Amino acid sequence: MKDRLGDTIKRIGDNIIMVRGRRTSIPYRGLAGRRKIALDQDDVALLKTSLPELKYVGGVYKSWGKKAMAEKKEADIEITGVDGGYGLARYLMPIQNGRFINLRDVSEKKRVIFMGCDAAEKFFNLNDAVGKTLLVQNVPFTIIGLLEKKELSASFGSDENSRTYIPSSTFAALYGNIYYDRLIISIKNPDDAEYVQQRIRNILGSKHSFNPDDETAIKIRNTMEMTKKLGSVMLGFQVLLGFIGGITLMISGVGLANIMYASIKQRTREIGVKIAIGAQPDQIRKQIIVESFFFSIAGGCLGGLMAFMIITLLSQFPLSNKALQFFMNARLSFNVWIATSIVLVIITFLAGYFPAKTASQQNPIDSLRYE
Amino acid sequence: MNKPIIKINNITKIYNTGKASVAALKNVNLIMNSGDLNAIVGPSGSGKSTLMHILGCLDQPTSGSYFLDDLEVSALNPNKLAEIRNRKIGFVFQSFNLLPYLNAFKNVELPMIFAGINKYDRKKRVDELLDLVEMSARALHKPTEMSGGEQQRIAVARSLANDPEIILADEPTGNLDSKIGDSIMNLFINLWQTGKTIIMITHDPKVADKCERKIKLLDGEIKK
Repeated sequence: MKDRLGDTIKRIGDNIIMVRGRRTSIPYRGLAGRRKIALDQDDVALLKTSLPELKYVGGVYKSWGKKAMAEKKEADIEITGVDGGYGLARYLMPIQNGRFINLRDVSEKKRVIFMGCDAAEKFFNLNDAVGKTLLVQNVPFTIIGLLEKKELSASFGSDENSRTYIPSSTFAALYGNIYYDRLIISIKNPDDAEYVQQRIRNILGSKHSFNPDDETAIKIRNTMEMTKKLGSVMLGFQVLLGFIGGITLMISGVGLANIMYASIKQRTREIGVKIAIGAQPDQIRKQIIVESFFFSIAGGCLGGLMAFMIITLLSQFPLSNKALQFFMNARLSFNVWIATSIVLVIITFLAGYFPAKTASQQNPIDSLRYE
Repeated sequence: MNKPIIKINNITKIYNTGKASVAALKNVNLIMNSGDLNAIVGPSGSGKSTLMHILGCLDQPTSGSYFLDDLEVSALNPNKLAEIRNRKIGFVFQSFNLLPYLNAFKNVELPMIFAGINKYDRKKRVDELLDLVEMSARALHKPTEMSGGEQQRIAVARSLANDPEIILADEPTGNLDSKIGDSIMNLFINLWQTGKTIIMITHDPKVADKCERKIKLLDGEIKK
């Protein structure tokens, strides 16, 4: 399960920082609070030149609810204006024979569009959408690629599958936007995240004249933070599951010890005979412990087989619910398997040892005297 | 003529049953010679079984000493006692006490497994012993498929597995009808003639009369 969450984070893009302009809340240098901070091309250029730690900086325009038409179908779509490096930074992988928006699209203000699968499906058959034309507010765009379907994209904001992307230059020319919805920044080294975020606050603060400590002037989020948050959620989850597993193991240990006690009780006479004809206490003990291992190995194999069968069975169900898919596509973890086996061996030994000790110290007279 | 193999000096055994203490044996002195055929007789409650258990190293006396083959048994640890039971003593029980899930061959083999004898020697010895008790044909049968007499023959073969000097038999004919009991008794007499020391607990006077020496127990004491 942890593996899958890790995958999800990776899909957002590694080491991404998102910056959005908001309103100030602290008066600063004679300027009142509640001023709107808006970010534009100059901010991107400024960050690029002043922070060598950055791998990529780009502005993103956003527009919800543009009317689009194709193949005699009409629907509203969400449009994002991005530059040529955005696709790589955000791991937006096109499916076969498509491509993402590149530098030339941006410099030549081309009318091209890259679509999420859900958005594209409103108009086209996914297999032959690339190359077709989509009218957005009566302006024709050529479809250059489709986004490989992302299950469970933990993106900031809307579902990536229903987004569409056009060159930022085209976006600005057509819709007249100057200010970006957000800046997307990726950094070279994830350890720099804290430092870089503080620097961004300082640099933008001095340019837009807001207090760098003003938390509301700009909003900064990063995927490293999300990873951490998810990590702690995961940790809680694992502690809970581990706790349940531990109790299960303990109960099974008690159950096994109980079975072994019952079994030696039942065989009092047999053990008595063996002692009488000269079995060493060690030999009696060994026999009982070996039996308990036999039980637990048989049980372990059965349990493993059942787990495998259940997982295989669950993965056969075609599920549309993404959250369910997340849980249903369970994987058997080799490490967990090894750890469980080791704990099981210890528990089995303890569960076998005490009955074995009782058996080996049994007084043979008691078991032989009576019929 | 024969050297003493069992020497019991002044043995007392007291059982504590709740508040009351019962003396099952009171100051018993006994010497048994190697190669003797002994019968221990007495009514129930006379202490026969207790004496048998002490002789068989299954129980320890409360006081007194027991020398088996010049070895002070009362001073030994459980592992050593197990070894003595395995090598020096063969047990035959009234109710046979064969392991029900093992066939005749494996039942006879068991004491040799405990003694750590290799497989080849074990097989040779089991075949010999099954021949001796005339049970070769039943080697692969389980106890439940055999009559009482047959089971007791297997039990006798098992008691001989590690070639012990002493055979302890606790009412060996008690659960058998008289004809079959006689044949088992003859088996013991044959063994005695090959030089084994045999100690037999019985309350059957016919059986006791066939023995060389009768030791009568009454209320925990030996009556001459």
